[in-house]
Amino acid sequence: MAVLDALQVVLAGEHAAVYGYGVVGARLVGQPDERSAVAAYDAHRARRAAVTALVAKAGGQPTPADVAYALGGPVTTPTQARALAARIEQGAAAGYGDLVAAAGPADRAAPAAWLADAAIRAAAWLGQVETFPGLAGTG
Amino acid sequence: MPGPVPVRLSRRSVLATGLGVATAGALAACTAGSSSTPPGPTSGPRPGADETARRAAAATERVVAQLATAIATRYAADKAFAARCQDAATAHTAHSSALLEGLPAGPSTTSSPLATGAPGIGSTAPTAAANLVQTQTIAATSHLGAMDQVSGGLARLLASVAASDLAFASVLRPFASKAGA
Repeated sequence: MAVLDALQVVLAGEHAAVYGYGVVGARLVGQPDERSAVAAYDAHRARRAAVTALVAKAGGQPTPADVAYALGGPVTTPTQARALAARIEQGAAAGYGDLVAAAGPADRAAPAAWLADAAIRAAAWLGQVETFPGLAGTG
Repeated sequence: MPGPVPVRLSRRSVLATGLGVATAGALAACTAGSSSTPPGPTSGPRPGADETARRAAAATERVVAQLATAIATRYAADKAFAARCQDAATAHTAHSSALLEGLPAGPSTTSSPLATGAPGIGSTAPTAAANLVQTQTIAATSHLGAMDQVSGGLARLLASVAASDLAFASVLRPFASKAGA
């Protein structure tokens, strides 16, 4: 996968993550982990901006956000919201992993750090750690 | 572990924008499959550097696995803590195996930052947790530092192993809080 393509995948994932965490945050209002959801939302928004800039810098047209995203099922309870948050992080991690593989040696540190960030968040939401986060895609 | 696409573009949104097909494909591509069966390193013809890095990282993971196993055994009475340590040991062992996958039997490396051994088990559960967290963090830092000398495929595997190590450290850190870790 070319670097620009990998960046676009990451960007699409960040759009989806921001949308998804909007739902997660709404369902976790008043819950002990409400702040975690807000922090994750803010982190993905910031990353979306950073990746948008990287796509443009690489000469690409940044992938736009979609109007809406299917969430993979109902998200009406805190438990469902936490499960969605974990899926968001796992999906984002796959994109970060692909970007690590596509990037030149000097540019791997950032997506690797993002991957670690996603793995830590997913573990917090799931209550368990993935053995190989970010290797689901391998595209 | 992850199920289907976590946040997939809806048909509605694809139809609404006319731009979503590629994105939907990209999202599906990056979330399909199982994270429990890692692929081997795939890209970049750098067998010498890759093999050296894989052996070093595998040795590091082996040391972390041994420490986690020893702690789980020593503090078996603390069931929650021991279970976390055993989960970590299992994962670190899987990391080591994945890193060595496809390599011929070879000499053990001395380039691991943990080649001289991990910290001791610790005389209390919090101290043991702190030692394990520290060892996992050292391992992850080492893996991340090796990424710039290897092929892209191996860099991805190293990044994944490092991320898993740091995630284990994050869930074990509360057990170490009494030790000030």
